[in-house]
Amino acid sequence: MARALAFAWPYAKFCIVGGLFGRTFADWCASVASVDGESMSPTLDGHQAERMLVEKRCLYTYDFTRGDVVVLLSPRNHREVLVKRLIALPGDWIQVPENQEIRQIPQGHCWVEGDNAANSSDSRSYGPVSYHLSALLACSHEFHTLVRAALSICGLYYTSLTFLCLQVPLGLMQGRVTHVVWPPQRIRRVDRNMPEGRIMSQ
Amino acid sequence: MSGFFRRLAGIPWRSIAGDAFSRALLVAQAYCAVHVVDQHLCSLAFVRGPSMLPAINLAGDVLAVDRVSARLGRVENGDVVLMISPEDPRKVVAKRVLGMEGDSVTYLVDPGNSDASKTVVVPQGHVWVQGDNIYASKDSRQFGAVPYGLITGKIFCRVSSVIFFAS
Repeated sequence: MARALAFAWPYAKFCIVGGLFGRTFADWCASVASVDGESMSPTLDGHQAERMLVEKRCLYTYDFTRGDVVVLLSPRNHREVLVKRLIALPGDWIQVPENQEIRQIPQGHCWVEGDNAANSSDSRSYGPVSYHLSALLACSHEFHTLVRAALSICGLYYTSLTFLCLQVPLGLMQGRVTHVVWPPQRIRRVDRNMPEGRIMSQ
Repeated sequence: MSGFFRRLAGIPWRSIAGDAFSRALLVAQAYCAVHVVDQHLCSLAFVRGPSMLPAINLAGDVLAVDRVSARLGRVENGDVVLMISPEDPRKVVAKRVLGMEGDSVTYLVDPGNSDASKTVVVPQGHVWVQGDNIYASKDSRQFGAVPYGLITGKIFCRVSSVIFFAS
């Protein structure tokens, strides 16, 4: 028993130390993640098992630029990770097309969107009743929440699992995607680009 | 002059470099172990401010933070949690959870001046947090329910009072 332990211990120690180094590196420097779903095509294609390099240095000071592709925890489910493009920073004014409203991003929040604008089965469509109500009540956060809750109980509120655009606190950010690293024929930089004419920055 | 270079060549550079490398590796391993335990298992936090009186002192308390329960989703009503502030991601604040997703929370809008109260339903994936000292706390009454993903740990023990009374 003691001999088996003595034999296995160096390997176990190697694995534990490697795990510690790997975890620390993934938390401070960069890690690799994969994409699932179509909300970011054509930039990132989920069907080809693409792997992306997610860098963490942006989290030291939460210093993001408009147009970055970011990885974040979903505000609806903390176990789910989303990959979206960061469109607007705190203080910017953004035009939300489906609600015909213009909103200012509050302090500490940002606006993220998927690149795949054609994917229409998403939570931008609230349903016929709430469309008009939410346009009127765009400034009042709590009443908005109450209306959405009431409508979801009545079954009039449509939610989907992959959200296309939403306003999230910057604290949910988990990193920034800089490159695609797998498969080899798809290795490339992921660039910043912005949709035209929807943002007015501060 | 050549004596100086001869002495320079006589110094055992290889073994010094080997020693230095193995000690640096040890320090790196220690740092990584401390980082992993601090970020993912259990940590200490120094919390100060008036928003959680009387539970947490104005001048500050050292609290033990459990990171595992928060990650596993085992935060419940009544827990004091450490979370990233939704108004400034560089700040970490301590508040008490008063409502989980789906709960209906009633709160006083302006406790110093009026008795008006409001009721909200906490959306999916969010929690309602409030400071114990409602007269001096910036919490969900001002910025709304916060996503659960902002919670970084659950506070389970106060360490500083143990230190003060032990002596």
